[in-house]
Amino acid sequence: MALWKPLSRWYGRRTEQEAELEKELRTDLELEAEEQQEAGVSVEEARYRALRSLGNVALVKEDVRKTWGWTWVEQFWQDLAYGVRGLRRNKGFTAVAALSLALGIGGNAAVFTLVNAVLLRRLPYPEPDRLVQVTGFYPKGAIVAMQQQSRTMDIAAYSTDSEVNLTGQGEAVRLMGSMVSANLFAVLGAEAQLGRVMRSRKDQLGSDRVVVLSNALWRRKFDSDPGIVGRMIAIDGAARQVIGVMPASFDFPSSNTQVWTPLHMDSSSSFDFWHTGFIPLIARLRSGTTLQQAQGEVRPLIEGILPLFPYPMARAWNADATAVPLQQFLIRDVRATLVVLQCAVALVLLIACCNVASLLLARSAVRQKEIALRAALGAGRGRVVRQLLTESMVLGFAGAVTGLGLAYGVLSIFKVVLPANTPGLADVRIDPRVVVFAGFLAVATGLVFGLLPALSASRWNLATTLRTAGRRAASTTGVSFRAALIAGEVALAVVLAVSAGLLVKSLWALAQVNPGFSPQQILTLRVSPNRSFCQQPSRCVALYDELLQRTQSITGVSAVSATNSLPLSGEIPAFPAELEGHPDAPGQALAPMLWAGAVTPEYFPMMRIPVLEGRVFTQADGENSELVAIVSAATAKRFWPGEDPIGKHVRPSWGQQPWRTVVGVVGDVRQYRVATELPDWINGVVYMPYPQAVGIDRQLPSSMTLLVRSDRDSQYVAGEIRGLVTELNPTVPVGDVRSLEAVVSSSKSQERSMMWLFLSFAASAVLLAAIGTYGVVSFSTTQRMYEMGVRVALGATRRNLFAMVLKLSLRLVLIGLAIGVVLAFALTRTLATFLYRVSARDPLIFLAVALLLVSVAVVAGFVPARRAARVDPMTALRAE
Amino acid sequence: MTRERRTELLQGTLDMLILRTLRLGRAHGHEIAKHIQRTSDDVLQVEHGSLYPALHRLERKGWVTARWEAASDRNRELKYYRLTPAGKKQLAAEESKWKQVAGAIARVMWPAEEN
Repeated sequence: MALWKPLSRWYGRRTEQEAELEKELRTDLELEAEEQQEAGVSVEEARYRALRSLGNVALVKEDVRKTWGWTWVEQFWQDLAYGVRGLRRNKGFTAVAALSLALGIGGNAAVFTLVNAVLLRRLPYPEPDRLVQVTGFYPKGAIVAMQQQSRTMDIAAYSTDSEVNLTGQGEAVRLMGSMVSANLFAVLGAEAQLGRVMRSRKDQLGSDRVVVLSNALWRRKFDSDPGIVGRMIAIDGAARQVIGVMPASFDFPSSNTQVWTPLHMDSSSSFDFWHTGFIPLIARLRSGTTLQQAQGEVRPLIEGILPLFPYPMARAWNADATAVPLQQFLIRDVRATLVVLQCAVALVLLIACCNVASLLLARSAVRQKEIALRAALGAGRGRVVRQLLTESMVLGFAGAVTGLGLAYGVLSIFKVVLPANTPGLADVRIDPRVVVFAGFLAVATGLVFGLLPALSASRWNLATTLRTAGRRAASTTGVSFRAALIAGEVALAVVLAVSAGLLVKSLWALAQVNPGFSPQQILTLRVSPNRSFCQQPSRCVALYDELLQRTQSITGVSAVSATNSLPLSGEIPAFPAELEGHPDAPGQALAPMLWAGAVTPEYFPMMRIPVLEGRVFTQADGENSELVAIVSAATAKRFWPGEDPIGKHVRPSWGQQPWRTVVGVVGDVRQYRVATELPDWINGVVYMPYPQAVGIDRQLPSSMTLLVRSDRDSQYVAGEIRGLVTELNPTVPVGDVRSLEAVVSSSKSQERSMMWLFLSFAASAVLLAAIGTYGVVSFSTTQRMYEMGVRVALGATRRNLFAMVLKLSLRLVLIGLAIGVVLAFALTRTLATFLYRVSARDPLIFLAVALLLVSVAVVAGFVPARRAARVDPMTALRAE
Repeated sequence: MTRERRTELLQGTLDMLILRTLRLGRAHGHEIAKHIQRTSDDVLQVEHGSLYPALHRLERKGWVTARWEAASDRNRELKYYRLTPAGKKQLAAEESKWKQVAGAIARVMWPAEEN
């Protein structure tokens, strides 16, 4: 309240000054009148002469006040009060204008909130611009060699999806973990909140049974125990010592990472060191080196370690690897989405501005007399313009406040367009930067939509305005300018409507895709024994055998099966493979990668995946029987075109595994995404019976997804299965309980929310354009009532008048449409990456949008056209 | 509407005339205007729109002070302006500047040889 005292003192002094000035001028007036009277003029006449000699009192006062200073503050308050009063008097106008702006500003604020949190985020580490991602995936041996040989970077490694079990802490749970090189935290420059982070010297082979916990896990599972450091906990069945807890803000590699464990760097196991577990790298540029130097070093580094591999590694391996600034790497997938969204909301805001500007123009035409009157009372032109601008700023801020509220409400919808693990997405919120951004928009839009109407309104001609009745005097330039605004508005709305249409069609095309299986009535659950539990394959086989059998006997369950990877769930099980007739060419090219499904016999019939040739697996395909495999139709066609795939052989290309015989061919399944069957680096799909499905790590997959078909409530079934699992092995967590339909649906959630966003943008744009068109047509019809009356008097029919007004509306929209189509043609290409089986220039969508806008024109023109047709010539002519 | 004020006095000249008028003693706005009008034989018309802003400007600069005092002849309060020492100095400066300018103009307009 430090400001209050001087302010109130200033105000008190000010009122005093004002009263004194009033008194001073009044006494002057009295003196003058008395002198005139003394000269022998009548009282009345003396007073009149005195007033004349004094001139424009308001202007004199204004000029005196200017010498006092502070006038601009005062005038601003006056303008503000005047503006608010004016806006409150015109509730309808204010509501439409403020809501238009709120839509525009709200959308922009919401998208900017995302951009602010994700794109503009400074990585929460010291000197973040020196952090880089070394692209590609590397085995431990390569990591160690690169760490030693690099002269420009300090390199660290991390795995992204190392799920582990936490047991002995209440119910067994599956955690998202990351195995990291011990120097990762040092490279990032991150410190623990409690205890310590890993250190390269300390957490070496031999003393690497340690774990770092995430803040969220520590709070949830350990009740924020301050004495947690030093305690032993069971991770994947083995005891590890907790050395530290990270702060809540630490989210590397992903916001859902819960534990960090050291990479087990055991060079004595050539298999573990060179064959498996390829993971990504980050690095910090050493002081004095530049990004370019680091980028130049990556390729030679990789070529230098090729000879170290204990097997011939293809020269093409990581051939395109380079160093990319980490921030840029982290946002690579979301950047395009956010940019497109920001452009779309900017268009909505532009449309809103056009609309409000056009409304203001209409209002200023009506207010010409008011403005002329103010001028007559002594307001300068600058003063009038300033006052009108203050009014539009008030509107802008009203829009911004409402818009921020709107943004707060819709933020969660906007968030869905980005993958949930996008770095920074967790702390998306409306922060001061967003509020400043909205304030900036309010001022900018206030200027944009307010300046032209204000200037044109102040270009008065006092004499004509006051003399005429007002109606015919309204300037025609205002109308043509408004028409141009509306045409522009329609053009922008066309761009948004076409974009929305394309996305709708794209999502429709996605919905038409046959995923290759039917997800109806299937419940899925993830069952995850420790990896070590499956070191003896027979233990794991027995566990799942028992579990499937017992599940089958739950009342209401009609079928049950298991798979290591659910289609469309984001898991990618793959290995490099050798296929018969395609000899591995070591050192020349990379072996083909195959999607490796491990399934139980019931899987194909349950999923209704058709068997095209041969047979499916049976219970007879056990651990010790002949090794068999099933391939997908596309895989058979790709590797053995024109040949019978049955009887061909396939095997993982590393680790000298025995050949497997292909016994069947099944239909193709959308494994990866609905739009793309497989990631581009995977060349085919092979299924193996679960008991035989040892991967290149010579282990069976331990974590499996159960598929259950039942007519009972899924909660009940899930509960029963949880009970069964606990009974069989209490250390095995059960998670990810959801229906297969939900899995399929959530795989399309990004596309869906993108479509809904654009649809709502387009709907608001078209609505605004419709309101704008109606406003202009209706206004100019009112202006031309006299002319209409004349026309009727001269013999024009009602139909003529109706058509004339409707034509006006159509002409406005058609001009906008033409511009909009050209714009859309040029702009929608940026949407191409979001479209599935729809051309960015799909003629059907363009046609549909054109029809939509023509009908908008007809609807917007209909009411004024009817009013024109009903004009009574007598009334219209007399009104003037 | 145009807002050109008929400032028939040169910029700054009105200030000088006001200060000069006040050297005779205290005066209120109306008196000052009348005095200038009268002594210039009604050639110089002082408009209120110029007079009052000028008075308030001079007051702000500290060259005059103003006080509400009872009028000498009538039964009412009027705002009387007085010259301050700073105002006196200013008047002297403006006077000498004016003399210089007026003399210079005179020499250009009516050169000696023409007489």
